[in-house]
Amino acid sequence: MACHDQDVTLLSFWPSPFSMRVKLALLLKGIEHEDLSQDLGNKSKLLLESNPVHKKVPVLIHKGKPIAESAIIVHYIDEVWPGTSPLLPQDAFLRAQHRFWTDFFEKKISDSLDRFIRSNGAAVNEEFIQDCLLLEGALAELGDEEEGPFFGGASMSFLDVMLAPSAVWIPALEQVMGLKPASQEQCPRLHKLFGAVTEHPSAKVALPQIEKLKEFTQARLVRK
Amino acid sequence: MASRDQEVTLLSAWPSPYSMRVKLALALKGIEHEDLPQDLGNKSKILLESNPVHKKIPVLIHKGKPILESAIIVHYIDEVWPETSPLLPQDAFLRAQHRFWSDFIDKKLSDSWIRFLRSNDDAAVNEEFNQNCLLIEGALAELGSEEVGPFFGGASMSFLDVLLAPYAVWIPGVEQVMGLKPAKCPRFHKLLAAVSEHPSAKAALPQVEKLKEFIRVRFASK
Repeated sequence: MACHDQDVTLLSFWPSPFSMRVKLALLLKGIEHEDLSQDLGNKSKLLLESNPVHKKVPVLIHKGKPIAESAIIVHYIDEVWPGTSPLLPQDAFLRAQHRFWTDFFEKKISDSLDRFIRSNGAAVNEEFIQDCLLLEGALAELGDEEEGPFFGGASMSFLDVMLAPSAVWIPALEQVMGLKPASQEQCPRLHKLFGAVTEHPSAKVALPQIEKLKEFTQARLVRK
Repeated sequence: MASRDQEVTLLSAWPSPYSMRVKLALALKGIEHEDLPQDLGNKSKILLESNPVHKKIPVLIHKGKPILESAIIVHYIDEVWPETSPLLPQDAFLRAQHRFWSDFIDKKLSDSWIRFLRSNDDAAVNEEFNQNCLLIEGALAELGSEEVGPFFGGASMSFLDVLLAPYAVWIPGVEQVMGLKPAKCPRFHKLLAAVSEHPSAKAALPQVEKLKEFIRVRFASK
């Protein structure tokens, strides 16, 4: 175990949901690492050299080698440190489901939230709600309610880690920009999942406080 | 072996590069399957039921369960049939590199490609696509071993080679019908040439002439 943990550095940015995912995975697995906060307005040499293609956070640097893109980094972490808190399911079909819904989240939900933010809350958020309903359906299909609130049952799995940052970002957008999330009636299990995320000890460290995120969002709005 | 091979069905469409990727993976691994070409103008019940979220091909149905999104399907195929023609590398870091470039191919390369197809020969979009090809060329220089072979996987095709393979027919098709000016990417071009010569690719990819007709009708006659 010790030799795996050597030289793990995370290039992070605290409000980034993608950065939060990686932080959460590292904490769930108890991986000691150096956290280097990045100034995205003035990108460091290290960031530009380790992610020349996209120049974005997060980047995980392990034994000097960079891995970029949050879902890929979490995949990598799960493969290199499989003993603690396994994230991807054992079954190949379920693994394909986790990858599918991660891809869906990226293409649809993340995209809708992005457009909502860029339009200063003007873009219609009906599509976002419809996509959340699909995710609720996925949870009903893949998660076992008797076992626990997560896609992984009682413990967090890959998909839970991918979705976890929404547990703080959605309330922040709701309270600062008037985003209307799917109601508890519409998405009861998703609401329970997000509730469980905010109570989880690792998530409490990896995710910022909603109040701090609200200030960040408010400040960016004012600057437009 | 036999029990895994039972009930493998592919919902396909011959011109689709995404469909070609899955066909190629199945061919490389020698997986017997039923190929059900789909009419995308009049979507079948099986397509709509197995992919209600996106309603797109390809869909792989294995033992009654559908798997969607070509890169995810190829990943699945590699995991369920690991012995023949392994696609993803053994090393975790190299696997992450394959996934990174797969993501780049689908977010950037394919995106600029599709915009070129819709753009009526726009030089700026052509240039953007070419810049993305140059990044692939760079990745190939870094991850491939020229002495071992032309592919990302060296002498044999790997995950990234399967994902890129459809360009071996699509790039010449669009070049000849729509005037695409491809970038100077010697190793990428060698890779695509090697794809065209590969026995499995000959089964999975359409003839360039047939594709040109399709491209003419679908994209060029506007």
